[in-house]
Amino acid sequence: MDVPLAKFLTWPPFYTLQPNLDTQNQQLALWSQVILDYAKNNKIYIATMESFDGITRNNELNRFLSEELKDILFKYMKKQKFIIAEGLSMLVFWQKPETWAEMIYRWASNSGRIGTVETVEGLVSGDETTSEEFYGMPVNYAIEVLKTLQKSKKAEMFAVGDSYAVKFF
Amino acid sequence: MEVKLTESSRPVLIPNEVIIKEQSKVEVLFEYFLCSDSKQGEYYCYLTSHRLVCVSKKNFAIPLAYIEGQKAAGGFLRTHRIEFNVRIKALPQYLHEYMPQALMPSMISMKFTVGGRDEFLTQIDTACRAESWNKPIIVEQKQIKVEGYGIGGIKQALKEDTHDRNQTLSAGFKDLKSLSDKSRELKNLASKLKQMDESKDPELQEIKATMASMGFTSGVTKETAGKNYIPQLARELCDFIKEPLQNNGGLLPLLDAYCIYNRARGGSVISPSDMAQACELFESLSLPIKIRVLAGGTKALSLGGQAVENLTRSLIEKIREVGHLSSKEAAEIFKISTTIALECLLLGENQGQLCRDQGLQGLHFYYNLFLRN
Repeated sequence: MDVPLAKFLTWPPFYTLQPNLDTQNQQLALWSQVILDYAKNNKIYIATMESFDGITRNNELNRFLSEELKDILFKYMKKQKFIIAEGLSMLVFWQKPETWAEMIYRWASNSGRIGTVETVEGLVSGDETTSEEFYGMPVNYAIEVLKTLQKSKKAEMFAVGDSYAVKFF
Repeated sequence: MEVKLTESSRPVLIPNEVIIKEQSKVEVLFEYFLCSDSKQGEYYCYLTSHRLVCVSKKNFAIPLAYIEGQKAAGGFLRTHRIEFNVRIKALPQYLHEYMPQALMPSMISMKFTVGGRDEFLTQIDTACRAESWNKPIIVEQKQIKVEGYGIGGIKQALKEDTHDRNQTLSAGFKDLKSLSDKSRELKNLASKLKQMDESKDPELQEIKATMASMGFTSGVTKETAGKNYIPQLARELCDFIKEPLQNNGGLLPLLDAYCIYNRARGGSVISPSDMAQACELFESLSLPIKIRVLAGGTKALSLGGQAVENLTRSLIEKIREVGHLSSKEAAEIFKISTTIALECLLLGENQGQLCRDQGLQGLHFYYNLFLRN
């Protein structure tokens, strides 16, 4: 979506829930983009409703997203698979799980890890991956990503004690 | 013989003329001296204080002054009729303009196919006896006595003027009965005030505006129109409301129209249900005004079918020009009511042309950049 989002953020109607459904859909799509960009720039993997207050409030205009609009927005984002709810918090996928999974698999094959077993924790916070983009990813977030690799039969996860390990194929 | 009609086919009244009685389905027969009779067909008849006006495809009016020897005819097993002789007489000078000389039949017979004869006849008798046409038109032309000159004189004159006006007004408002009686006098005062165009005094301007919206002495009533009350009401309403409509961008909420119309009627107020019924008839009577239910449920009178759409289009144009508008701002710019303005803005929103901003300053509408980038 090539829309200058900055323009919308200084435009008052952006902060009011639009009753016309066509308009509302477009509004929600634009807001999703704003939230994902914000999450990406601030490396927010796990968020609560309050995590985005920095962007959903515009003090200069004296406008902010109402609870109702936030609620509708997060439901929309869930439907679009931009977020996955997990208890009171949510996982924010500013990159698609498949994109993340591809990154991890590329690292595994480049560093000759195909066929070996790695702990998930080691994968995202170990010394081997500090220069990778997925370094610093929370473990439960990484598990969601690895599930897509498991689905495409490129990896398999299993429990080791109370943590998880993964084997790449 | 011919007669001027308003756009909705009611007679245009002569100054001081009042409609006394209306009757539908009257068959009229002309009898000429030494000639054969000529059937004129079925008419809708108005008895006014000055004339008998018959409206159909071909219209004619007979000055009451010409009517002589009116009597009831017909009866047992025959349709009720009124017969009278027509004798041309000299009319007061001012009436020549309204009642041009014409060939008149020597006798006229009116057949009342749906009843109402006796009452009509009584009213003809009364009206002929009253001879309203011989009464001069009251035009207030008072000489103001100026005692002294300069500012003192002007002040004195103004004071007298105000005093007279106050008396007329306070007597008029004493009770509703006398209000209707006074309505003619008030109307004269109103038209007099209207003529004082050179005046720039804001207070006087306001009085002028108020008086101008008061105003006709011969509103349709159940007594005059009988069974035809609602259709005739629809016609009169249509004639009257046209001007207010034009001044309001072609649209008025039904409630506003009701208030304006009733104020003009003075004492004889109509009920909301009469108004609603009359409005329902606009279409079947093919009158130029339509009643519309707008998106938000507001009922409104509109001039022509496209008034709402046209207004909405100009509102959107304006918003593109100035950025955003609230319904109140829109109402001020386009001189329409806020209800109508809001309805049009909501219509624009429904069409996806506009979107809203609910801030602390109220609801504002913007051009829809979400969909129209």
